[in-house]
Amino acid sequence: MNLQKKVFITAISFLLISGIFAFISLYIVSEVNETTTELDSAVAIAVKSVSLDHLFINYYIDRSEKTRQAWLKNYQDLSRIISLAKFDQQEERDLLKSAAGSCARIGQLYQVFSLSQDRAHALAVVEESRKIIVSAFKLRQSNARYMITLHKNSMMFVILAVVIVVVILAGNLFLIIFRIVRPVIELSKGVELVGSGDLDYRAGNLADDEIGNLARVFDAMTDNLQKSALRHRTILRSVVDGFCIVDVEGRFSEVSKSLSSMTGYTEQELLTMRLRDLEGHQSRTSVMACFKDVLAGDPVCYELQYQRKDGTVVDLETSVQNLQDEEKLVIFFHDITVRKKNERELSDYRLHLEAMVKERTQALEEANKELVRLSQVKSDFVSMVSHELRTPLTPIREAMSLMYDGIAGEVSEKQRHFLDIGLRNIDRLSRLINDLLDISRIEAGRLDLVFEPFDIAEIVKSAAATFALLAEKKGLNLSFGECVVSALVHGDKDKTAEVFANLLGNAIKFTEKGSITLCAKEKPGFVECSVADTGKGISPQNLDRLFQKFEQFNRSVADGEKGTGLGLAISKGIIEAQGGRIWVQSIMDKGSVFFFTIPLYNGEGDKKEAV
Amino acid sequence: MKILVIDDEHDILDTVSARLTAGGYAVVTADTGEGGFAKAVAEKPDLILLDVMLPDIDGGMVASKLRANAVTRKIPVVFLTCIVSGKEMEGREKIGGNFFIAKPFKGDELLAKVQEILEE
Repeated sequence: MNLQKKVFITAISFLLISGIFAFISLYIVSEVNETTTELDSAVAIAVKSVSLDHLFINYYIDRSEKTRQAWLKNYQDLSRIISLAKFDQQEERDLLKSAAGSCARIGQLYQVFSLSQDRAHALAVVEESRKIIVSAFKLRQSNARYMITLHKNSMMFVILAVVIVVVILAGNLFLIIFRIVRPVIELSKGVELVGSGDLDYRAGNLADDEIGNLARVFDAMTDNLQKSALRHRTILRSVVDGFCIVDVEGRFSEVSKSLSSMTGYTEQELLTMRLRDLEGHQSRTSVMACFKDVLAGDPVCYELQYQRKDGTVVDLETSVQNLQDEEKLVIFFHDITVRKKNERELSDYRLHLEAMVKERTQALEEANKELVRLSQVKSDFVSMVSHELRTPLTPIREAMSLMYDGIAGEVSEKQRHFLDIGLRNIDRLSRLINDLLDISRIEAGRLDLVFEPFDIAEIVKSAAATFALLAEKKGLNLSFGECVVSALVHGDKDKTAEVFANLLGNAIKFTEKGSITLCAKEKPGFVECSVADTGKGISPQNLDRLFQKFEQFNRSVADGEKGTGLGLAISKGIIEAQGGRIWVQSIMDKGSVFFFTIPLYNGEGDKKEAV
Repeated sequence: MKILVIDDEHDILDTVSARLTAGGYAVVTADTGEGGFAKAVAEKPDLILLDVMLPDIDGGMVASKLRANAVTRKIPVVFLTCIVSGKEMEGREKIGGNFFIAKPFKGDELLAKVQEILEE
């Protein structure tokens, strides 16, 4: 049964009791009224009958008219009162009847007396009036007795009513106390307990009413709270990071197991300590310094060093937050000792590396200086070679040439043959020196080129003309013209001619039969020149090495001038210094085609010098 | 026709002289720059073959002096040089040397060049 029903039933029973009580009260009041009226009548009868008796005696003595009149009036009043009076009780009605009879008889006796004046009649009147007085006093007595009974009864009723009301009130009070107030007090105690953190409290299985429901809901809530708290605690405990709660003074009010293992102090020890005790003496920043800021809702994060119980130092990343609505801080500690150690090692390593690099750089700078010096030495050597080697060659060659030409006298055929051998080898030596000079200049990046615009066709034709005789001697068909365009290119004219001569010379030298074709085609931004032969070709493995120094293939070629092995390397250097490209395509036993490019003249009159 | 050859190498002087003489020219020689300049002023040759690298003053300087002197100003000068780089030759041209023959030269080529210049 729920509380609402209980209250309803209590109210109904209250109403019923009140109704009964009111009804009884009304009854008592009417009964009292009635009795009072009866009492009044009885008193009036008594008074009148006494007065009548008194008046008759007076009249018997004085016989005055006045007294007789008074007696008559009194008699009429008494007769009226008796006739009007009403009584409930049978005894009272009998008394009234006898009083009425006496009264009637007094009337008759009075008539007789007034006529006879007989004493006997007079005595009879007095006797009758005394009977009325007696009846009236008896009536009053009976009435008074009833009044007393009534009074007693009403007193009893009042007491009974009070008792009933008290009982009902007490019952209700009990109900209220036991069913409502007590459980509420219990529950509020429970709420207080739970509020203060005792999550083990349960209201228990209470009555099946609203408060019982409230208690059950509250228990369920506490259950959830406990589970949640347990979960949080489990999570916090299982977290590797340490945490604690500190108050304004920096005292620990809660610490985690992990913090205790981080610091080496037990949880109990920590709870008697302050945060400052862990921060060590040399610590620059104290978390407590930022207490106010954090409370204002400004969380901070530091990387701090803490002193363990054993005196060793740990690096802990410390993040501080406020605990809502409390003058406390929640501090989380993350162990970054390893990271810090690594950082320090890395830093040391970096410094070491920097020192090494510096050392190395210095060594390299010195080496570079040495290289520059060596380069200068080489360059000096090259110019020494160019001058000192060529200077004696000139008179040697000229002296032999003079003899060969017969200027110094007659020369026999045999002498001329040997002089020819000498002259040819002097020329070869001279070429070798020139080539060496060129290649060393190319390598030193000091090939001096005179850039000017010139017509590529002119160079092709001039080269063809130079080699026409040689080609003809070998029975080779030297063709050019159809695919040679007339275009202004930008480069060193003499050096370009040298490249053409070199390629054309090689082509003729290494081709036994067939033809040599010269081409110069205009492409976007440059002219592509080519020298194609029908020689035996170059094997793929040799193609790669072709443009390197001192690489000579087909050394078996007997006739013509011996090469220096530098021609293609020099050609490559010249072409690349002019901003072009040189390459070769070859098929064994079919022939080779050498290509190179020269940039087109773009109209600018500047003399660009390639390095 | 008279040709002055200035070179510090006596072997070159001998062979060039022999070649030029065979070619029908009168030859005067000098083995220093200053000496060569003095010979040029004194002999007034039709052409001067001038070595670039000389022990006292270099060929360029001699050429400058020749160009500055009224007597020798118009005599064509042919540089005999080991320096074959175009850039360096350009520099010489500015000083006033008219022609170049690169060492080592061939006697007949030298003779042909000399004939060509004198014919102009």
